[in-house]
Amino acid sequence: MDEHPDAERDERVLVEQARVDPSAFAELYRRYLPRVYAFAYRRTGAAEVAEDITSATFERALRNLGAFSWRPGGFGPWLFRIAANELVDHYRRSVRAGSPRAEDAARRLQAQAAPDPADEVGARDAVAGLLAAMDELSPRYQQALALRYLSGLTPDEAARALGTSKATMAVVVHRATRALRRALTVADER
Amino acid sequence: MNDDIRRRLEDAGRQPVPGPDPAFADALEARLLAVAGTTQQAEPSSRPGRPGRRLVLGGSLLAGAVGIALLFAVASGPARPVVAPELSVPVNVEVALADGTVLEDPDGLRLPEGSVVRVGPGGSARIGDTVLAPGDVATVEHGRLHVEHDPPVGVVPGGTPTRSPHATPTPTSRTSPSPRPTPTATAPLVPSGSPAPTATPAVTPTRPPLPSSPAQTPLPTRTQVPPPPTASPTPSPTPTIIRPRLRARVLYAPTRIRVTWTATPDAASYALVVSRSRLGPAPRPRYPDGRILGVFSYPPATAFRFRVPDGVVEVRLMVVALRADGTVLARSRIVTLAITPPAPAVSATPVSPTSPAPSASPVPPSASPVPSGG
Repeated sequence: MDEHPDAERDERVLVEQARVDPSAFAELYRRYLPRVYAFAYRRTGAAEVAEDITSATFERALRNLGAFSWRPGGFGPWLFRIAANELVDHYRRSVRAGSPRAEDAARRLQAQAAPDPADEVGARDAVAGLLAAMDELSPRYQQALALRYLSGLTPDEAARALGTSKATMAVVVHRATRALRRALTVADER
Repeated sequence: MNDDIRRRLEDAGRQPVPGPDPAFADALEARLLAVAGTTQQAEPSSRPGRPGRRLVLGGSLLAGAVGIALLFAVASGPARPVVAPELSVPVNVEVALADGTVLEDPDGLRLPEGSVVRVGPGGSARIGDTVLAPGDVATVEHGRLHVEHDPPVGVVPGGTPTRSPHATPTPTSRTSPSPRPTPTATAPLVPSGSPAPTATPAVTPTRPPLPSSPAQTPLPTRTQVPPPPTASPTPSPTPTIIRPRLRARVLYAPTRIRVTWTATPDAASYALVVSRSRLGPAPRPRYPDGRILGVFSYPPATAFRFRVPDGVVEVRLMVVALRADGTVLARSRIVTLAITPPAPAVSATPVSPTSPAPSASPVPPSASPVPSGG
């Protein structure tokens, strides 16, 4: 996550501490909370849902910290992978709850997102449409696009978060983008 | 065309994002610390910095298998399956939900996955056949209840100065059904990592558990078919469905909402739906699309409280009575509460310990029921 070796070493020490003393997890939490929340908010557009996703992400990370093995890139990609999985689960549940209504609700939530100036409404709607179309993609494609574009991670980090190489990530993102384009076309035709 | 999509995705990634609500951040941190405490005690054998993930997984699986075997072998183990973990007769109990919401003494709450129940000084509660004592922490994981029977840090066994003289005696047995504690008083719960509240708005003087006079508004009971809340007895049975009568009011320092409602005949459960706003009016609470604060098996015998994050200016609540199959039986009217923190000059204690219980006022001044209209 951190490009500086010192910062990465520091983070590794923190993770090791958090394994034996889970209260040390609080430091990692404070470090990553804004970014994980921003990731969830960008994907969902709703503060309450973003809070739910953020809560579930950190709780799952805490419970599974014993199974985390340190890799280059550090703790962040692992955490964002959990967040991406939580987002996929969230949308899977939404679809199960009733697709058309869930979609409408999601669109309404998007429309209610952060009060923006009037001249940004068009852009916001476009983003909302894009995110709604993402719901139609396979979980892996959703994860790839979200991690690559909405998480604030570098391409390297996003690839690590997805558990692939950078080259594979590029291929998955390319295919996901193509699938998203098709989903948008279908949505426009409706 | 792909470039256009990519550009739009990049735009989406650059959208300004408001920071997380500080109250949410604090609540989640406190909750994680609580979870960390229980996780650490439950899994003391995890070795730090172990690179072999397969070994860790194998060890975990083995430990899990042993745990399951022990669970079946020993009926009184610390983790026991609970079909529907339901909190009952809580006194000085905090329940932290997975989303960070904190509820105080939510009688009848069906504990959702990930909820953490903490019993404060002088408190008690029951979940199924498990009786919780002061200092106990119970978590719901994968539908199972895990209880840590540990004394709270800094609490002297046998009572504390903060304990109310009306506090319920600590249950002596954890597993055998003991007489149900009467929630006559609620001592302030002191969550770890947060300053102790200076005011004790929840302390209620001794009062009868059931209404003693016909003029008094009936308290909700656990019977499935209670009398209508205010209507006079009718000579013939009426086919109309009685909607739950929701009552809520705001308590301050810290800002909380105190909630109770009356029962609806034939209701199998009740969903409390909440919406809130930091700017302008709160949206209309919706079921099942809205935020469901909790599902309760019965109306709380005494009002419970839940905390409101800082910055929220309006909260709207609605109770939905549900049938056994989950369909909606009746909805309460929507109650709208304006959150207006008292001026600093005003005393920090909103309710004097000698004044009547807050629930004595039938219609709170800050609550304005709005016809739900369906």
